Amino acid sequence: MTGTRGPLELAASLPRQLREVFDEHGSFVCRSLRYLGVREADLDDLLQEVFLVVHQRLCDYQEKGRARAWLYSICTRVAHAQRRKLGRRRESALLADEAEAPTQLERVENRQALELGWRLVQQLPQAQREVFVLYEVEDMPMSEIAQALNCPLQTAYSRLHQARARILAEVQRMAAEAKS
Amino acid sequence: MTDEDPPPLKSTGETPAELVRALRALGQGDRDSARLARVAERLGARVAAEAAGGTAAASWLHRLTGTKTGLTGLVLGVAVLGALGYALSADRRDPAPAPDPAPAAEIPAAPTPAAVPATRVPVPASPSEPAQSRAPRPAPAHRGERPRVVARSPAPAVAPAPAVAAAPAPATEPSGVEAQVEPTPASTSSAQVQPQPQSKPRDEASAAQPSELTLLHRARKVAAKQPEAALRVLREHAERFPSGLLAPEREVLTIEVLRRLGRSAEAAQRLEQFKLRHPKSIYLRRLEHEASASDN
Repeated sequence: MTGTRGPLELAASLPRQLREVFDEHGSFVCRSLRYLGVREADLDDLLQEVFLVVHQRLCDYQEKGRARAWLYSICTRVAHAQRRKLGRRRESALLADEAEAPTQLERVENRQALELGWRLVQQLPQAQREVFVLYEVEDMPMSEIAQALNCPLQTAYSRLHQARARILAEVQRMAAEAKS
Repeated sequence: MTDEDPPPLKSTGETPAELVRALRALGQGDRDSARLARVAERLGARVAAEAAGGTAAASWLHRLTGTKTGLTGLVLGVAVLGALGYALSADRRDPAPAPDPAPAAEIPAAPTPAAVPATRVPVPASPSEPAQSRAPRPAPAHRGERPRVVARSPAPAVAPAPAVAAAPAPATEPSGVEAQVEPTPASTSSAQVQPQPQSKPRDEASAAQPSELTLLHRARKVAAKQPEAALRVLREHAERFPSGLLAPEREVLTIEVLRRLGRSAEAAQRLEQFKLRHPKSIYLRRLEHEASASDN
């Protein structure tokens, strides 16, 4: 029975699933890698890396609802491996070259909003940033975030609160600065 | 601290508007569509290549061990090894004289050591020359071999190889092959010999037909300068792999080539079909963008 399922057949069936994951979550993975400090120049490679892992582990991919948690944890590992490889100890080189990266399709105000967003998010420590971004930007439920980050739910909550406080304070500071 | 998620900043009225905009902008996916399309292509190629390589390797192992496939496995395995040996033999050909001793060791009784290896080797080595070449020159020279081979398979099938071996040079070929075939001593030789005829046709077939990836590469290569030719290749791809792994890539390229040829109506029609079939595809944005660009 199972013996009749040749390797070729398997190969043909897997990629279609892979394609679905890619189409649905590709841009999420892309953003996640950025949140994790991957430079624009490395994004293509790491994106591919992540999906090769996905490809190998598609069989683990059963809890559909948790797809993003699963993907994010893969991103984390891939990004960390990359950072180790580059010997970059600094927490992140977030957006080092993001400024030059906006696509031609982007409208100006959009770009400004994006730049502001990155600037704010960048000020957060990595642990807070991850929770903040996954919750406030990616709309992931906290329980899923805790799973993705492999941390207790309460920890995730407290990081979120800290991050929010910082961000809001920063926005207010900027607003006050703009007024004066 | 409840376990309830707090309302997201984006949706509470108190959040400063600029922050809401910033958070929304951060989450926008479309700015990465070009990158994603690029990576999808690379990934598709990589996975396809891996699948091809992986299955080959897997079947190789299977055949080598012969666990599941038994006879046919062995036979196919020999064919594969033969091909490899053939490749290797190119390097080893020069030292022709050397081989003699080795074969002798194996087949002490055989008068012409060179012949022995030849029987096995020739078959795989020259996949292009099938039964005909063998049949005509069956038993000519080799006695050492025949006994073994003949025992199981009708003499003609096996013997043919020797014809090639008969020439002085052939002796070397075997050495390359045998090195790999080691596990199959004289006793197994019969098993190997018989199956070969079957395995060959398969190998030939697969060799003659370009893979899905190859076809697409070919189309892409000529797309810029010979769009018509590219279309032909793409059509072949569509016929042979209607729902292949790279079907979306094929469609995208087809649409682009059609546009290049000025056949925009056809391109638009295909784009519509593509939308229906791959509503979430990361290529859509690019295609639509190009469409609007060409309209202007």
